[in-house]
Amino acid sequence: MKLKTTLMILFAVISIFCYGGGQKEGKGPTAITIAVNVGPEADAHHRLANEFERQFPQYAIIVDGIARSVHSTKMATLLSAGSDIHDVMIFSTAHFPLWYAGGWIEPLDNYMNSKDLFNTSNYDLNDFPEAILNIFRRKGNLFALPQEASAYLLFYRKDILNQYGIDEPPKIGWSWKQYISSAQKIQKGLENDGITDMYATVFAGRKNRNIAQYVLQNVWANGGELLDEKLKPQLTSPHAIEALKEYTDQLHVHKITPPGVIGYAYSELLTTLQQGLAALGLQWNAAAATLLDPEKSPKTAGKMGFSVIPYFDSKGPNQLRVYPSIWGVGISSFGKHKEAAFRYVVWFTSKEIARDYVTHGGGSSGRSSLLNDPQIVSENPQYPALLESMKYYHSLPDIPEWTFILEDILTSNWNSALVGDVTPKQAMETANEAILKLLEEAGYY
Amino acid sequence: MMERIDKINTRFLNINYKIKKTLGIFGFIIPALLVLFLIFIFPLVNSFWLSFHRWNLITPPRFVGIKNYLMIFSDPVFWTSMKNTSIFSVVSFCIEITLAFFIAQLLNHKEVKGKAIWHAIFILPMMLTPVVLSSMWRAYLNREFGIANFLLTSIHLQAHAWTMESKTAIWTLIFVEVWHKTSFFILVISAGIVSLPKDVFEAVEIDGARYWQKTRMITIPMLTPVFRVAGLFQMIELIRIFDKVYILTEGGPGRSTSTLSFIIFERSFHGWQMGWGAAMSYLLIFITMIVAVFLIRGVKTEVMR
Amino acid sequence: MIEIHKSKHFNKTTRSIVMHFLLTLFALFTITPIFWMLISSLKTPAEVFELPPKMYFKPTFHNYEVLLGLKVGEEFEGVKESDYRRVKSKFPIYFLNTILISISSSLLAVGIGSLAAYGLARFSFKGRSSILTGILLTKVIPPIAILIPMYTIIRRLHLLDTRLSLIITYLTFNLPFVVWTMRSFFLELPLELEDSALIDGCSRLRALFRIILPLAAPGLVASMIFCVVLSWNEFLYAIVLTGDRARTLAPTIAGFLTDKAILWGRLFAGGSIVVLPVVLFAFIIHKKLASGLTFGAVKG
Repeated sequence: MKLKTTLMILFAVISIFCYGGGQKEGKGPTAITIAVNVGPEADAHHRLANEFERQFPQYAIIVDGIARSVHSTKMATLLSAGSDIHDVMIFSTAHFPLWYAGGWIEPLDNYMNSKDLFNTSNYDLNDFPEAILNIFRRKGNLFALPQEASAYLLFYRKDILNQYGIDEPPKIGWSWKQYISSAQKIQKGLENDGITDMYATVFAGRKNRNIAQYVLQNVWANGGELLDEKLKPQLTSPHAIEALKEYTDQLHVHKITPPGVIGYAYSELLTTLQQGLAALGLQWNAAAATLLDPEKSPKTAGKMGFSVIPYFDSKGPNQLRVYPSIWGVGISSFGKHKEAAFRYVVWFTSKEIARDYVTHGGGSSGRSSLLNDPQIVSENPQYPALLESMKYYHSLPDIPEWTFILEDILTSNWNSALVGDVTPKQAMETANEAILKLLEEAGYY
Repeated sequence: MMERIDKINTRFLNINYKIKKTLGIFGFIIPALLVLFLIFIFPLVNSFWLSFHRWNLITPPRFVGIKNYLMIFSDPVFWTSMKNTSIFSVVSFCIEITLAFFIAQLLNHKEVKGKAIWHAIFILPMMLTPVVLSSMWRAYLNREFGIANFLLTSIHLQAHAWTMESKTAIWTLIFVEVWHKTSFFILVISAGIVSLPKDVFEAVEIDGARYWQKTRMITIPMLTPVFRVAGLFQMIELIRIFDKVYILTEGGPGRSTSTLSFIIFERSFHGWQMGWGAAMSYLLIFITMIVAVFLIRGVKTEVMR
Repeated sequence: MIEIHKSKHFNKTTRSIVMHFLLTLFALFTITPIFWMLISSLKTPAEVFELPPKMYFKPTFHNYEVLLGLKVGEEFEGVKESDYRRVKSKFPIYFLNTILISISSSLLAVGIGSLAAYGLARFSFKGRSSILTGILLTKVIPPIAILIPMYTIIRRLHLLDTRLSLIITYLTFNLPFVVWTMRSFFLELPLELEDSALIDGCSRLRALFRIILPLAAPGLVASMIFCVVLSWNEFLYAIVLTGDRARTLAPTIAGFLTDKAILWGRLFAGGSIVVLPVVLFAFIIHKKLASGLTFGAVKG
């Protein structure tokens, strides 16, 4: 009897303490809640929040970091239910089509026209390349200000290129043929020198969005397109098929990559380069920070070089196209403190704070003045290549179904081709068919 | 006259008794039913209704009848995932339950020392957070810098990209699953073995029964209810596998490890086709129920006891 | 009569050795990956993936220090001391949340579930199998399918970002398992057990507590462990229903799988910390399980 009663009392006590949580409304500073993907994007918001509160003591910042794997799901769940929890939202080109179509993001232009909320000259909107701003523009309205702009770059080990007598790529980058022949030269050299664990190059082949993003760049650079103006898929064109074939040939024909690339995403690419297991790499610019840090990467610090990704010979360097991976800061349509949110958005992407963001390993911020700044460039030699790449940003289809096309259709089919289960031609045909069916059912034709 | 009053009285008492009896019975069951009903009735109904509509979160749902269900049956991706899920579930289940049975028996043998410690070790994998354990194995199984390949090559076995080659991917998933969940069965079967009446075993041992006879004639039949329930629940979990697939293989390579839950997630939260997702979910519920009923066909006989 | 057992090839010692050997083999299989994770959590990022792996290295507790909020993570280097509060890890709070939520929802599940299981095992009535099937049905629902409606319910109840929301959710996830498991344990016990007590004037409830439950203790223990493990590790609903205040450990660890890097060090350290209490809990409870309960009650 005693045991039972003690257990029940214990339990009741626990339950009372378990109510916990919930929002506290009341006097004091207005709370601005920020929804952001956990990782470097969120870290900057955490770090700078106190600074904002110091400058604007009437506000209190709450940073809600959401794990990357569920970020998109959680935000869609919340926003489709009209949740007003968040005031500021950080999102990328992957989220924008759906969130815009749902009317979940507030256009910024009205706020930008208000003199006391937005100081046009100080802010200098033109500091951002047009290509970046256009990503978040619809019907003349701007929906987000850029926090970070990234691109795939060609990473190379200067010492290895030197060792095998290869010149570093020029500003316009190598052509794909040059890239392959350099890699082959390195691979031969490594084999001759008896180095068995290092390979010439490494790229993303895992069944996730990375492979789709990169191959898409190849398709564009080869003069192909994903969808035409009527939204009909164009993947069965010879340009597209050749683009995919060149990618998979790296593994199957030229054998210049580790066999494990079929399972590599960003993290494995980074580790491969970090451990000195590859001389070249097609990797996101963000990896540069780790690879240049002597504490984190003793094997590669001081030896890395960066260039624009390879263009296709048949079309030349001007046809090069880069996948736009851009994170923007915007305002929720449902939030209760829109003006306050706007202040935060503008403050965070302003010149001074963007500078802080960039110099603390946040990424590139998208402001060309910062990417040209000599002091910043000396610590971040990847930025000139990044700035160059940004010129070639290509727009993405503006339909909510785009996420599925990228993450599901393109990814699984192109991974199948890389793994060798199907030929590039078959992969493109299956993908084309699937996209056609998808958009047809969605009512686009 | 008195007789009539007596009759009325007894009938009244009977009814009273019946009411009390029913309340007594249902008093036990009502709390559970109440909780489940209150929480699940809305989502279940909502999902069912949604499965006959098309909804992409931004426009109001559009009625399409049974089109979603038809689409699913004509989609090759669905059939591939059926195949994948079936292979995965059946193989994992068989390996887990066999392995666990033998280990549980070993653990409870009277000559084994340190039972508590063994138990604590063997149930460790089950305790790990799925996210942690999947990430852990992803690191270990990496082709170039994973520890698994390193150990294999040092004893001259072939290294593979375990999670990414089409031939090995699903077996790798099964391996990680077995590593993870055998401990669940060990726990449950152990609890069952401990509850078995010792006198039956003693009697049979005096008559000279050997290990296999004992196992076949006594242990297995007496543990069957335990097997059934634990097996039922594990099978349901196996059919619904998602976490490991998402982190280890992301449904790849190609579609060789896309399971039913995985394609529901993909379509619902990458494709934003909530109606299709709801229809697929109901299909999954239906499939699972069939398997469940098949597994517990013996329930009626149990009830008779 | 003395039987000569031809089958007894092995004498007692050989059998014991073989058994212990097999157990050790499986134990190694089980524990080595976990042990490796523990070791890796004490290595620096560069050392974690080095091959051949260093067996002698200088262990660093940096990952644990960051997790427990004693130090600030590398990404926050240079942050002013006064700003530490904001960027320090809130892992200990999330840990506490997880403990509270797991234990409460499991106690509730085992309590309510065993009650229902008893009713369904002992009494026969019309609709019994339909109720059982109905309960099974709730178990079979894929969590992802009802994510959005569940979110709407919790939001309407104003329970977002509270521990209670997860307690309720996990209670409903765990109930079917408890009901079915405990029912099978109850069915094992002969009907006559309560008869003597009932004849003596005991109520059903009392009989349940005094006689049946002690005998079904292994089942209770197994159910409790299972419920705690599920609540402890559940990830999807924990992320969607909670924010900064009521967050549990699983979403926190999932947060280490970022777009730009997998923070292996913290992931391993977090994983190691997360598993310890659950193991302790199981170890303690298991002592009761291993003490071996017999059917002494029937005989006398």
